[in-house]
Amino acid sequence: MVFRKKMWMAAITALSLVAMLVMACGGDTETITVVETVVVEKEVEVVKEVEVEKEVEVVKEVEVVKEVEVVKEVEAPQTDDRYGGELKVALGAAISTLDVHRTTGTTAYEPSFAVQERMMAYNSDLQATPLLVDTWEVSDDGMQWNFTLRDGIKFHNGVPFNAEHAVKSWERWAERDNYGSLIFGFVDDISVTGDLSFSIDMVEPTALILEALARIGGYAPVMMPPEMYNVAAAEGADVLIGTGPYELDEWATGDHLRVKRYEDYSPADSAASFMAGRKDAFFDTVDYVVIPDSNARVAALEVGQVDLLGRDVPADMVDTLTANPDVRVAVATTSPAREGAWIDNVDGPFTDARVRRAFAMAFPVEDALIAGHGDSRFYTLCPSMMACAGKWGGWADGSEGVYNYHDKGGLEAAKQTIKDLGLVGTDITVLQAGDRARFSGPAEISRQTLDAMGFNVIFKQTDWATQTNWREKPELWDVFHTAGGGAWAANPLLNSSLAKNKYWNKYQDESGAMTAGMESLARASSADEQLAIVKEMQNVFWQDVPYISFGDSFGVGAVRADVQGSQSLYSMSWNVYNAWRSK
Amino acid sequence: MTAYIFKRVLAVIPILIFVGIATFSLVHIAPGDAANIMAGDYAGPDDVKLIRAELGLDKPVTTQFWEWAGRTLRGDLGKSIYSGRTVAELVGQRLEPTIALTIVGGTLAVLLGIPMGVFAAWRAGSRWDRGIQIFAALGISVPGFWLGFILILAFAVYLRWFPVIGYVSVTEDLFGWLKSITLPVSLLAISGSSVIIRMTRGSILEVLREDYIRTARAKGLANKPVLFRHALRAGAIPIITVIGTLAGALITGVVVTETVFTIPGLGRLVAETVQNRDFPVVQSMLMLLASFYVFINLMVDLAYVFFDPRVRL
Repeated sequence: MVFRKKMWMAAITALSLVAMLVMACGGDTETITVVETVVVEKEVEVVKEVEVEKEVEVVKEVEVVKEVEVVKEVEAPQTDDRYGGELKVALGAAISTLDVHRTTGTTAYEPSFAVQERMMAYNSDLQATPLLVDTWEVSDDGMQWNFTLRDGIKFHNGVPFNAEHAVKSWERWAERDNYGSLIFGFVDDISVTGDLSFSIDMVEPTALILEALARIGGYAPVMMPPEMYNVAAAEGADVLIGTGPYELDEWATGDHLRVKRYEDYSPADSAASFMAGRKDAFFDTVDYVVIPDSNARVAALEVGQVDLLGRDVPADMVDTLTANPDVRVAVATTSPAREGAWIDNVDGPFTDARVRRAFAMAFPVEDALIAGHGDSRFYTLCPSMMACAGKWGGWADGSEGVYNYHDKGGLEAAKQTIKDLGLVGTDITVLQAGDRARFSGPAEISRQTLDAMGFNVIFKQTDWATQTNWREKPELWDVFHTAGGGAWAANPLLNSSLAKNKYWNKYQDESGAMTAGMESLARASSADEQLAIVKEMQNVFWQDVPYISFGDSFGVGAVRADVQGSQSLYSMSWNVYNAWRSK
Repeated sequence: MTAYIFKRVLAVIPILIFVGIATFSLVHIAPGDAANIMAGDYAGPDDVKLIRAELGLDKPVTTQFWEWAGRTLRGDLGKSIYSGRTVAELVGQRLEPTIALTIVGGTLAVLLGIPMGVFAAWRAGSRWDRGIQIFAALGISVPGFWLGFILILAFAVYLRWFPVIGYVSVTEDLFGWLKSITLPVSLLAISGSSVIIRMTRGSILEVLREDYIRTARAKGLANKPVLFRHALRAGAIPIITVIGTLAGALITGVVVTETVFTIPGLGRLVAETVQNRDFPVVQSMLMLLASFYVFINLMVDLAYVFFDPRVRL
């Protein structure tokens, strides 16, 4: 009996060992068997008589004789040893649609950056430079723009990219995007003037055309074939086709989306710089894996199951990852988001600009940024209306005595204002989205501040999805917290919270000064002129306080140390091309 | 007996109708809708209004209900607002991992739970009993997501025996499959077996105190037949009930398990679609899960017939 027991134990132990060994072992085959269809051709001389000119012309035509399949073994598709392998990118939320004209949700954009391209693209100085465009010119009076596209570009379905595709794709974007409707207000007509050329006739000049072709943030002006642009954006195309260095391979909704190298990709000649210039698809495939939980994402990166977390590394995980020699961490300081407290401008006490300004004066901005980000590495105090890291931010005009002023007399002054206006004890509703840490902490600061000012604060704790619904109804809230990034944070024309009645804060701009500033900015023809206008708008901003802007906050990305070439500007996962794994 | 079965099957119909109305109401009572989520963070009121109209979400709720009920009765479960894929397609894509987790996890829970429960009852008051009870109490009380992360930390991050995330299909790689399900199945088995242990122990203890067991022992019957032939059979009804409930709980429990271990199953599909307010998928998934639950309960009811002759009367 004892002997039988021992036998069983020994057998189970041996089996476990074998199983563990088999699990631990495993290798990748290096050679690839490729089955190629080779077209065998022969040249045939055809004699054509051209009657009019009475000349005899000899034309060489190629006759396809037959197609044969050749099986051969190759080491790798390219000789450059940077080519090969797979990059795994972790996404925090599922890719909801393949059509980026259907959503401004960021996860849909991640694969789009690898698959689709814009006519113009931002370089690392954030200047719009030609990508699919070959040359462009604008008339002296700024009333006509002429564009010529690069020759030889093909969509992933083999269709050559032409001017009609460019115009139709851009028009589809413009119907959807705020920036599009703004730009199209200046456009009289767009006409296709050749297979690869089109022109834009203007109603009045604007310096924003190139920016509109390169737009990042909001909806993306990417180029699409008819299969995509002929489908209404609201319905959403169910294919993802572009001209980019990668093409769609497989989409398992909610799990992963894989793209593979597009072998017929035609890169730009210029040097690679952020989203502009030459793109090389060094990885054979890029797999975007959905990992909803942030702890699981970080753990997967640490053990090498994924290679890259775009920009959503939780602040409390940064030190752990930094200490890991197999991981490189990057704070994207050049691409800040602007966080803030959005105020209901059309219902309740905040309809009065004096009350909004009092709230801003009493608000401890740095406390809110610490509550949202935990560490000063991930934010910077910035009193300008637009992001300090952008071209239209970085100065304090108009913010003196308002911004981060609570302990310099701001809170006391605010309390007095509330008392003078007879608002002590008035109900104020603050929304808190508990599932978004970067907003829930600042919401608590808002609660404390408004309470200290003398309001009766009703604090509604909920989730983000519910908050998005409640903010539609001004009677349900007075303050909620969110943020905007990219061009939204850098360009006032793209920041709908500053436009009259456009965003959820429903800013009314009673003086009309902000609206006038926007119109002037859109018409300004030089950078100096634009800058002066934005500074003036900032004065209006801190006077009217359509919302309280906290400062610049930065996303944190992390990548396995053996992945080279990934850039941290904006999100690392936007530049999966030009990245490779060191051998 | 046939009448009993017929009555049980018939009772399922009003339950399913009630579940349908309840799921539709719940989904629509919950604040937030797909238009807001789909539009994204930068979208303003005009964008959301446009999308809501395009999706038909601005129609009266009653109209939406009748449209949904009509489609469901015709067997059309609808399609995702986001991906445009039919619910049947989405379920097809996600079915395998969930089936694997629930079958393996459930089987392990039963295989662990019943013997441990019987043993604890047999040795009631002993150290073994206390140890098993502590295990069961922890298994029930410790939150699944926390235990899941501890398992990941210990066995995937530190020891690196198993993957942190993902699922490998059984048809693709058997060992890969085993590795990918080991931790999530352990999590399901620990919590599932804990419930079974408690119920089995209680049930068997009660039976062991019955007069006929004392009589059997007085007659000199050995421990084994007393325990397995008399006590276990008599105590089976509550155990079967728990196992039935557990089957349903496993299906819903995989929501947490699949999210923690990043397994693309039905549980994660439910979590994602609820988060995105993807109403057609949420409604259909709730209906499917509720139907499954009802089916399991029906099976349990029918199983009583075989274990307890009194039910046949």
